[in-house]
Amino acid sequence: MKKFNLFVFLLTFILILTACNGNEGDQTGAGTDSEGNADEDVVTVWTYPHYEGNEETGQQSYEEDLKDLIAEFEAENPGVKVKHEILSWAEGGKKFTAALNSGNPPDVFFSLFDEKYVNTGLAVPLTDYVTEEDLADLNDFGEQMYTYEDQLWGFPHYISVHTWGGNRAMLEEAGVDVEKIQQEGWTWDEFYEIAKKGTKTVEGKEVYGFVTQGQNEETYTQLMMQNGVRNMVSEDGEFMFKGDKALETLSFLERLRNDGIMPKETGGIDPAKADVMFNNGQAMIYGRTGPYKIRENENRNADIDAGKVDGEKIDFVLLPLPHNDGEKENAFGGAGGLMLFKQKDDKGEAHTENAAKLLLKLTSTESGKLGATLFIPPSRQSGQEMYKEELKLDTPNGQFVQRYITTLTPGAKLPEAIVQNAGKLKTESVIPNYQSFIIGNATAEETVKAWEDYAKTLGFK
Amino acid sequence: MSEVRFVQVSKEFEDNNKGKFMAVKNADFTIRDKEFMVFVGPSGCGKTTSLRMIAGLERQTSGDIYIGDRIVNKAHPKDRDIAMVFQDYALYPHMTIRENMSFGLKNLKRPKSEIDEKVTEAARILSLETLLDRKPRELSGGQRQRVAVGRAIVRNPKVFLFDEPLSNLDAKLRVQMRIELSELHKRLGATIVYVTHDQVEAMTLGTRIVVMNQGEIQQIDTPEELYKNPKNMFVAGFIGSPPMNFVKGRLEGNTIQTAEHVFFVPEHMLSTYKAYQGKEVTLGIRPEDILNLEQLTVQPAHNIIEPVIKVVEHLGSEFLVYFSIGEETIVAKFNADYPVKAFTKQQLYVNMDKMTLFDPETQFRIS
Amino acid sequence: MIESSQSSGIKTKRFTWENTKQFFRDYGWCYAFILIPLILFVLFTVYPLVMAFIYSFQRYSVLGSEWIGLDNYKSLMNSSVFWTAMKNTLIYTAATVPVNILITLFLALMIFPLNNKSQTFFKAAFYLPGVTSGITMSLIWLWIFDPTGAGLLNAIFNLFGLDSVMWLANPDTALFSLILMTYLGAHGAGILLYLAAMGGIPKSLYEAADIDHAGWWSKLKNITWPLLKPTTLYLLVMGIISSFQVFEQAYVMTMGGPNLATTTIAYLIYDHAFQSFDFGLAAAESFVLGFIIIVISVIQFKFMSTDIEY
Repeated sequence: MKKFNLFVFLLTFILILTACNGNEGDQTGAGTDSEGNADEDVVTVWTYPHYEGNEETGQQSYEEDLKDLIAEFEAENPGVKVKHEILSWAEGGKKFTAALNSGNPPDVFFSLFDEKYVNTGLAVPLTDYVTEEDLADLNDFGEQMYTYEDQLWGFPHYISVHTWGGNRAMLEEAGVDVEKIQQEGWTWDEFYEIAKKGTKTVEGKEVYGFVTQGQNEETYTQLMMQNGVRNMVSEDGEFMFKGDKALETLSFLERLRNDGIMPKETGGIDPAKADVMFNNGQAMIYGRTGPYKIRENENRNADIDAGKVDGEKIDFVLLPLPHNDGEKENAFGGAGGLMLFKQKDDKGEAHTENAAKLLLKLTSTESGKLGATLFIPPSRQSGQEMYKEELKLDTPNGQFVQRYITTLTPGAKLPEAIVQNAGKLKTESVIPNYQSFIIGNATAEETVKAWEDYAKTLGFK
Repeated sequence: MSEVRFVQVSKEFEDNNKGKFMAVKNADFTIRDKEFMVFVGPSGCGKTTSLRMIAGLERQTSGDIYIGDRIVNKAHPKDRDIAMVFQDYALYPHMTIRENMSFGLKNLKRPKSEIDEKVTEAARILSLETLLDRKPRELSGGQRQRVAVGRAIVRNPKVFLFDEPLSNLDAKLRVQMRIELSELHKRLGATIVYVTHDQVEAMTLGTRIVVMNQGEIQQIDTPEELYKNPKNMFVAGFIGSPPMNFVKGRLEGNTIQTAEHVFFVPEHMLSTYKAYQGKEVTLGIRPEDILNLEQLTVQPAHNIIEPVIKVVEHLGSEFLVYFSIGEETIVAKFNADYPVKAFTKQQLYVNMDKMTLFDPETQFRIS
Repeated sequence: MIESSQSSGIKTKRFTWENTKQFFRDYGWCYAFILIPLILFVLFTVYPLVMAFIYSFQRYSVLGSEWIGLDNYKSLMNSSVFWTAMKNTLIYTAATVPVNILITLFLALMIFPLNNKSQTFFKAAFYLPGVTSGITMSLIWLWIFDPTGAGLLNAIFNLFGLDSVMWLANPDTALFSLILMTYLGAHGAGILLYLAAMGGIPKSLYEAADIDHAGWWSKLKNITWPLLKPTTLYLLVMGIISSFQVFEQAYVMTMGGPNLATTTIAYLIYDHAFQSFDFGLAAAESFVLGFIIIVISVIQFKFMSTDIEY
């Protein structure tokens, strides 16, 4: 028996050793393999299916457009091969996270900026590769979004902005001058009065003045920005969702819910549900949405005309988030673009340079099509110029977007020391307590108190 | 009164392979109070089905079944006041012996003191006292058998039903349990219905025996009667060990002419067989009625044959001798004091005073 | 092993070169055959396990982890969220596993007396939904639980004049909603196991019980249930293990919310690993979870295992 155990033990031990070695060997092996031809440098890019092809308009899918750009790039850069992968929106993030944390991220990856990526040490700053002309062409907000610790970590395709949306017919029925709001904005009180008018029962069906998702704290966070508070945690480690400002914002939401302007089930409404309710005419104003909804709505109207979809056509208008009296409009937005990475087994400076070149090619002026197709402003001035037709800059909605993105401000870039705790504060207190608040289980006061207490335990001021 | 009565009871089964078939045909009998009635027959003869109909585990297709004075045609097993011992004992594997034996009484919601008393009593009768807190799997086959009996006893039913209870035991234990069951019957004075395929068990245990074949009752009688006066060739061939020998022949005057021999029929019997003069008959002779001539002090005049012995089987106190008459293999049972050797010619005496004649057409005994 | 070494003429049990040679001459082939699954097992089970164990004492970073001793374990013990997740997981387990076993048993009892054809039909009918992807099922459940009158459950509630319930959005009902999903979920595998076990109980036991005056309930309680105990134990242990690891529902249906009401340990592990990149903490949580599962399983086997023979 003893002997038998000894054998098994030895065998297992030896196998573990070989397995470990083998594993590492495999990784390097695979690396050289995929490079194939020794003179060929293979650069990988992972991105998402930003838009689908459309047979009727003859529009290419994003992947087809990407392939065209890659083909151009390969022609311009002999000796460099590009491998691309289109991830699924649902699983792509997880796949990238796993790849990054095991030391094998793709060279180029589509992502909003995330400090955590930089903190792994595998993100590569673009600063040395980007030209003066590129930077001059880039929208300031877009540049700020990818800047962290004085370095540029990515190059955006587009500037995205969150807005609310409205049903023009219903708004005008309530006597609202839509263009005026689009150009000048509105206060919480003005919004309240308008939304109240839109709240009614039509043919036994509840129509709400305002519908928004209540699964997380997003609506609250964005309203806080219209109340002078840009960030949950400031760069010097102060918790900002506290005191009167927080209370005022929560009370505003509480009033909307209690007065029936917003459904009392808001806590159970997710973004998709809010969208469905708006399309069904159950909401006059809904949030949040964005310029992309214009394209979506056009397609939906076309589908209704073609008899593919049942429903009423909607004249969709973009609306700014209302701001508290005395505070400024401050749009929430971001920049979507490509970030540059290296691998744990660094493939060398030449490889990184090729990857950076590819990144800039894929975010060049032509790539403004990505934003334009989605009706999101491209991040390059030259791109906006090139696609001004698609962006409908002459329409009220188009002009509103142009105006509204000027109110964007970048969020706080938290130092490494507090990033993790800020994340914890958000997932372990801000969101959970907001969820309790929005369904009416906790008052505004209790919610703010709970946040403040938890922030203290995590060491925030 | 714990009588069991079958009135024209039949049972039909639907079988996927065989289609419809009659397991029991028009059974009509009475098991008397306190009787030890054994059902015997080859497998598939309907004996177990009859027992299960008494238990209520099978419902008869037609006819009436009485237990006592009551018709129990539609009564549930628990309402028939019977107890049954199964071939595989059917002990509840997860219960102790005590729990196994008291399960029925517990279901009847009898007071605990009464249950304890009855279980203790049954355990004493069956020498199970030291085993009461064990589980069935810790017991030997014979002990399990006794537990199964004990489970029946505690209930004090009108009728005990045994379904081949000894078939899973080894030969020695079987003999011992046979004796115990016999004693138990006397002690309990209960009506027992017992199913077996083993005719020795049937003969040793039964007050009366029901011999069945292919769903039909062949004969119901005491062991002695079955042995001496079998109603037909089936019963004659089934009862007795080894079974009765049959030789085909013709009744001519006071002789029976077979292919090789002439046997003389005793004078006093001839009148019985008058109707068969000159006709084909089957002569039945039990193995013990064929004697070694050396055994006899007086040399008989007739009925001596001299076959070549083919096989000799030693059983200790006696041995079995096989030889042929015509195409039939005949077996004789001899006392061990007079050995015979195989492949020798041996003079044998056939005791025709004990012979039986059967009608080869109907297979019934000629009487 | 001892026997075999004696038969091959080696008397001592000492580990010597001679022994080794003889041993491999006798048994070399066995090891050759075992080697392949063993390598796979080591590569895909042992190796990750060992690495995860090491990570649990580190602050993980892809470019060089830092050894921090027991800090991960300390911080999870001090984390109120971890204990909330623990509580949620325990409630979920206690509310799902026993009830689901009873539901499964009940369905199996209903199916068992049927003839072969009907049995096959019901077995398939109960088993097939289990083949559907969890995500698809979750989408249907999201519709059932819709907080407005558009949802199936609330539509039924409204029909009876009851107010709509925010099933998944209310911390008081969210965990219960996930539990309810399991009650109406796939019991197919359990039913098959129970049916097989029922078929293995000798018929004569029921006949003996019939004669022993046992009614339907007494037979169920005293014969069927005890004799199904090995199957029940198996379902219980497997059920508890899988419900301790419940993740998918919490992830797809509620993202652990609202107010952490559906944050289970497995969800927390996911959150810490893939949202916070805190792989060390996640590994520590995994080992705590694994330890709890092992302890509970051992206790169950100790108290419930029986070797029933029939």
